[in-house]
Amino acid sequence: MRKIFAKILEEKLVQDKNNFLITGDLGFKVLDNIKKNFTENFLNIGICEQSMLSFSAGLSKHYKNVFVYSIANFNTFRALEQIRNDICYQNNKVIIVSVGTGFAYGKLGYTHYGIEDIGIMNGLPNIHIYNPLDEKQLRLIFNKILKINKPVYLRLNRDSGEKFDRSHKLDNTGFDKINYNPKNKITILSYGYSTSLAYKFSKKENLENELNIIDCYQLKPFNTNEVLKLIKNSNKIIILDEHRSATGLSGIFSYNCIDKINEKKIFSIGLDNIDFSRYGDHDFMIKKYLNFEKKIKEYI
Amino acid sequence: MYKNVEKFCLKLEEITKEIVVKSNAAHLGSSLSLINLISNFFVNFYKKKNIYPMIVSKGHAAAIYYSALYLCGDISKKEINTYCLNNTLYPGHITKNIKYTGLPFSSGSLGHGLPFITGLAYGSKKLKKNDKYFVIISDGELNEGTSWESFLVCNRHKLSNLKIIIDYNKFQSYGTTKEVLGLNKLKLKLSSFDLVIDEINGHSNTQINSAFRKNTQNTHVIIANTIKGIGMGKLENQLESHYINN
Repeated sequence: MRKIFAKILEEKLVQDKNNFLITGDLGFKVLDNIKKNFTENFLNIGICEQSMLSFSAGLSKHYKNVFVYSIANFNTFRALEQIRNDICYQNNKVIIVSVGTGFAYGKLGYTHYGIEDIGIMNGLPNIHIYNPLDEKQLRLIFNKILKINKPVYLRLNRDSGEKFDRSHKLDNTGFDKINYNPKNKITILSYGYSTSLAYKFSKKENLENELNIIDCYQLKPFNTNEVLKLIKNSNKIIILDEHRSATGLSGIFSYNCIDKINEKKIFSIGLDNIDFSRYGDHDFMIKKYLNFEKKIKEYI
Repeated sequence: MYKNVEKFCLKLEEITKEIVVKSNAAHLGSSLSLINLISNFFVNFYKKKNIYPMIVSKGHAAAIYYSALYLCGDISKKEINTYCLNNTLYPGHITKNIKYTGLPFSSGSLGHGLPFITGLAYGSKKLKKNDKYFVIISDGELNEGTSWESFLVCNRHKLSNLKIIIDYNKFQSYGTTKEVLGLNKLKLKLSSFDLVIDEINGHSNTQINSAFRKNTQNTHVIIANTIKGIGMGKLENQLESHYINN
């Protein structure tokens, strides 16, 4: 998704020089075109994430949209106080762009896993959080974030390569009906890469006529009314997080909907209570630690 | 508006002490070490064309900064009297308020103001604007990595529109700067960053005025030797002046 992000940002830079991209010494083969062709709107500030985020808050006084690009852990955990104090509390519009979400960097070890970042960002005031599934969603989200006057956290996951045969047109509600039939009694709520996993699973197991898949590309603000409409007829809800459940979509959903879903059974699948003993590539890590296919089959 | 720095200093000391004692707040010593630096800025530079409001990154010097805004007529007497009291808009660390030109940024956690203003100065230079930027950081704040990151960034981009004033009062919150992290030979340490470094008496209005007006080809770092708690009698130059107000 990061290459798609770079492509879209390039298009926007051509249209409007009031955009600026800062990277924390990352972007090889991804940001090369922007670095070469938009020298006035690009800065590799170096490996100094805390300064980078405070700096971006200052720079946002000169540019309408300042994008800050790094790996999920570095531009969130490492600079959390800077995001909190200088960006969120002071409502300085900075768009924090994270790559390496979930297990995308599986082989590199847990220092490079973005599996707790939603939780900490969700705890901050003023900020919007988006996690696009594909280019279609990213374009819609891009148009949104260029218009709003709030800080944004934009999570980019590994491109699944999947072409989603959506049953409904993508809209602005914060949810994407990847597979939706009001008659289906089971719904999977997921986002980003985990939606692609659910989609592949559903096709493989021929569950399209039983299983709704709703992608939640807008995690904050969470559109509670819309999600309640979408799950109205389901009596089983599976929430799939490539993230700690408690602080991922499961936590967000529970907090927002707890008093409205009494009769429904909620099943969270995420990365809780795990001890990293082994590491491997993305698919290996998903299979070993998320193990969602087995869990969904057992549940339904 | 005051036109005389010495008169401003005297009044500023009076108001600062008054509001700190009234609210039984801390950090009076940290405020007073800035007396001449703040006075010079507010008399000679504040609200002048192309001068961005001073960022005081050592946000715990809120008392003196708010008092300066009061003396300039930005904050009313009624408001300044609420400093650090219940229901105040003026808590013990400088807090942004979009109503006032002089409160563009909240500081309080050390190490934020300098990278923030570095971003401002960078953007201004990039867009060929003619603005000048001033930031005061504390010597203790040099414990924070972002300070040194910012020096690197400043030099890399030759931010000659930025003046960084170090309030070198030799104390931080739990010891001298020398005993805590060995912060000495400061001029020598800083000179390796290729910035323009000047060391002055931070209580000499003449030296301050000269340093503030100096044009430089790179970021200007002014090491201002100051006295923590100046004007606090026996608490002058004592760690206790960080905590006790009389």
